[in-house]
Amino acid sequence: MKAALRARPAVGAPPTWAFPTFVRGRLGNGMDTVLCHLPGREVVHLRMVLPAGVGVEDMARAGVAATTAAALYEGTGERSADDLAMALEQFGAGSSAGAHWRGMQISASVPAFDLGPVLALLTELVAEPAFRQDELERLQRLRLEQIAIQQFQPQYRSGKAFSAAAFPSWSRLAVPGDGTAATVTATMPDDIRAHWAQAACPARVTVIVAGDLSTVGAGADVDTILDTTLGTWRTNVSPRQDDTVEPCPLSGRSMAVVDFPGAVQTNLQLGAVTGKPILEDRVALSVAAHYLGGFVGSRLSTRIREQLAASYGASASVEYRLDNTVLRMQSSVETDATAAAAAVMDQEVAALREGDIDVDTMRDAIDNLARASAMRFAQPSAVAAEIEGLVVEGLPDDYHEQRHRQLLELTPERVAEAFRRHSVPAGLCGAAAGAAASIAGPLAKLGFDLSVERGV
Amino acid sequence: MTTDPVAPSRQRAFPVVQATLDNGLPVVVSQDRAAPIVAVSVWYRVGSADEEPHRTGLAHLFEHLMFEGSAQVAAGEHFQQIHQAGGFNNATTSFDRTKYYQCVPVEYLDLVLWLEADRMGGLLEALTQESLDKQRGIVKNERRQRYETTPYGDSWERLYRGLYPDGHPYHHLPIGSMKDLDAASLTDVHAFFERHYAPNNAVVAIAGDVDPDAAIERAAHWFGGIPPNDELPPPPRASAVSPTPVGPPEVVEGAVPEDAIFAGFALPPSTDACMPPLEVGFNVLSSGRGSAFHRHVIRPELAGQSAASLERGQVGSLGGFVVLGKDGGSADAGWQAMTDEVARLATDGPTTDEVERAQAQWRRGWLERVADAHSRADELAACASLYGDPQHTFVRYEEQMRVTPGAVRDAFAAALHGREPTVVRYLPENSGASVGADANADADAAAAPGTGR
Repeated sequence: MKAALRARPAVGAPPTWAFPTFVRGRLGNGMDTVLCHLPGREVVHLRMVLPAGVGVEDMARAGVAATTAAALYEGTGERSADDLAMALEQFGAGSSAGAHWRGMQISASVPAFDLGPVLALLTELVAEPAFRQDELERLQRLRLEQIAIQQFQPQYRSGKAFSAAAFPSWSRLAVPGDGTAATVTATMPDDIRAHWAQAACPARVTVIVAGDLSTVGAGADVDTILDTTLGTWRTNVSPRQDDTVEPCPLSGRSMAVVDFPGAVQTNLQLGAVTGKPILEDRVALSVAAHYLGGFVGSRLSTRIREQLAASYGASASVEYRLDNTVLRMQSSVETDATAAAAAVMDQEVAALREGDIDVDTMRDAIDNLARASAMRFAQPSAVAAEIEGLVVEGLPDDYHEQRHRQLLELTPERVAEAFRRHSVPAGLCGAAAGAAASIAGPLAKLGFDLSVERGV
Repeated sequence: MTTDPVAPSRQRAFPVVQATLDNGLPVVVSQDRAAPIVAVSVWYRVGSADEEPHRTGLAHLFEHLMFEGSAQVAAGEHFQQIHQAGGFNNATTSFDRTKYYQCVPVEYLDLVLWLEADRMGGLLEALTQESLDKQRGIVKNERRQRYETTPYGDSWERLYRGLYPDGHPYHHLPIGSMKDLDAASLTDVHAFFERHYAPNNAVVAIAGDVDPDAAIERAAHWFGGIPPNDELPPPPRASAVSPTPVGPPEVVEGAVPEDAIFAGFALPPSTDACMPPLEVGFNVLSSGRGSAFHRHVIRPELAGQSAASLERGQVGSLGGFVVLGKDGGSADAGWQAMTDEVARLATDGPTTDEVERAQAQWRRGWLERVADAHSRADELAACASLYGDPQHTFVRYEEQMRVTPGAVRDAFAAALHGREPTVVRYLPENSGASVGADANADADAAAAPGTGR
């Protein structure tokens, strides 16, 4: 029996939406607070944003910020690492720490009714980290083991080679955020303690709490809980500004081939580095990256996945590393189609620079970003992460309102203008992790200045 | 259409309303006013376990074809429409089910229901050889990316193949083989759709900023004209085919960074009463920094990585264990330490603190899941599809919270203690160890888990 299908429905007007409101404050020890009440979200997410991120690292100790963040969980003056983990997790907390280019970060998700005791434990963690010699040495060995494993992963190797190709060798940005085997080996326990001393300054810390703040504990409000926990953290460190980090764009058409003999696919990463964008360009660049590789119907996905049928997918992103804007396109492609995929990336970037735009795809990209926020920011963790982005990038509190207005007014021409300012006329540089014997020749024919390094 | 409002006493954290349309399609709706969005999950009770011999990968390939257009929808338009609305969507295929999901601003609910109904009732009108060939190429690249160029990428494929004999529904993974993907024809695809894709073999779950009665009415409006399949095949059964008797470890020498052991135990189906205490036990072992493996395997540096997972399935479940050596050394020390922990749970049982920690972590995960519209719709569709009752999510919650250390001990003793796992062992090429010599070491290692020495 044939189905009786109904005709396509009319669609209502695009929804109105606003980023959740948040309230700034300051604790007695100078720590900034940002509170965002999200009714009905029983699991609260909190993030502490601390100074001394990857950007201030000495190149020879690259990775020290990430190791320092991890070391915070290795015990306090009062508790062993096991006891600390058990205490946090018995309250249902999922907690982690890490480092990004502009700072360090500690985050936790916890049922609202246990926010108080978890904040007390996190206060102990930052106020009295043990940094025991044996634990720090163990962490170093663990990190070296992770790096050894990563060497076998084509995507990791390609990403690492991309950074080395895209930034000058003296730049911290040329090596992975969590370091290399050489820099991790050179990082001593005292380096970790010294790095923490740069970060342990409450007056330079921001804590963000998002979720249903009406249920955080019997008779207590979140301000009181923060005052009596993180607000008691005192150190003798004076606030200071991070060193200025110069933008270091590099133009050129280099391609690092990482050789995985016999690989059936190549992980291909191509991109360019330019300087810091003005606010308006930032919005346009996010659209440009989305247009290139942000969805199934994007240009790269359409051409590499659907038309070449050479890949499971292709993507593009814009990332801000300190004062640099990094455009990066990526796809794992069949070995024989590596050069064809690289040529597609070249062509699409050139076309966008020249304003030769697929208008329907561009309209889809703009519409999606203008309407997606309600889905993107429905959960406390996403809201807190977004606010963290505003804090570390120094963006205005009304950034989302500005962004939304700009998206509604954005034209394809305006996107192309911004993209021209933030792409490199000389072309793209990049990396390809795959079978060098098969891919090097075809890539060289595209005009890349090739280097080859051993993969496995 | 019959409506079955949930009794207030069973409404724990959120309300659930369910109805079954006249064509047999269950519709489940849960209201969440926190954000102006709505998620729709459509689950079909068909997966790779339902595939015919020499047609492995067909269920997953078919999932891709569901985005190639239908009676009134152009190829690629489903993705495009959801994307333009600001939403996200995708699909996944497992052994037991295929699910299609999307989350959009609430104004687009009708559009989503229409898109799903159009392909549920009218997919074959748009299917072409060209779209089949295109998606076949994409799926083969998915296989290359996930299974063939990643270290240990084929470990689970090897493990399931070793654990279950040819002919068992779980002998092969949903990705299928290159040979079978190449062999899939348009005729196969048509037959697969007609056999499995019907309203009475699906569940529609809707969660978000909607009025439940109105949402059910909209679902009836869009899906109501699709006829049921009165000749649905019976679900796959394991009873006819038992797991393979445990043999020697499969040894794989290749481009991997460390010696590694992947081990699996065939366990009862997901509906078995032993599953809640087993799940708590696996979380005691492997979830978080406070887990037994982290404290007793990773921190003492006996292994580079150590993990346990419980993969629940309708035909049977898999208790999986993974350990990597470190610094180029053997995985045996880590394997032994993991075995000791499994044996401790099976004999002494976990401590009360360990169980409470695992339960607290599970509870946070559940609260986060049901607070998210997409995850809530997915959870309700899963419970309706696999357990026949969307309310089962509350049952699962209560079952998890009721588990005692003694129950974990008993479940581990019954399901794991004294049993041998099926083992796949990876050796780094050029590691200096001969396969034969390491195969002996494997035999020792394979004897360890669950035996309590």
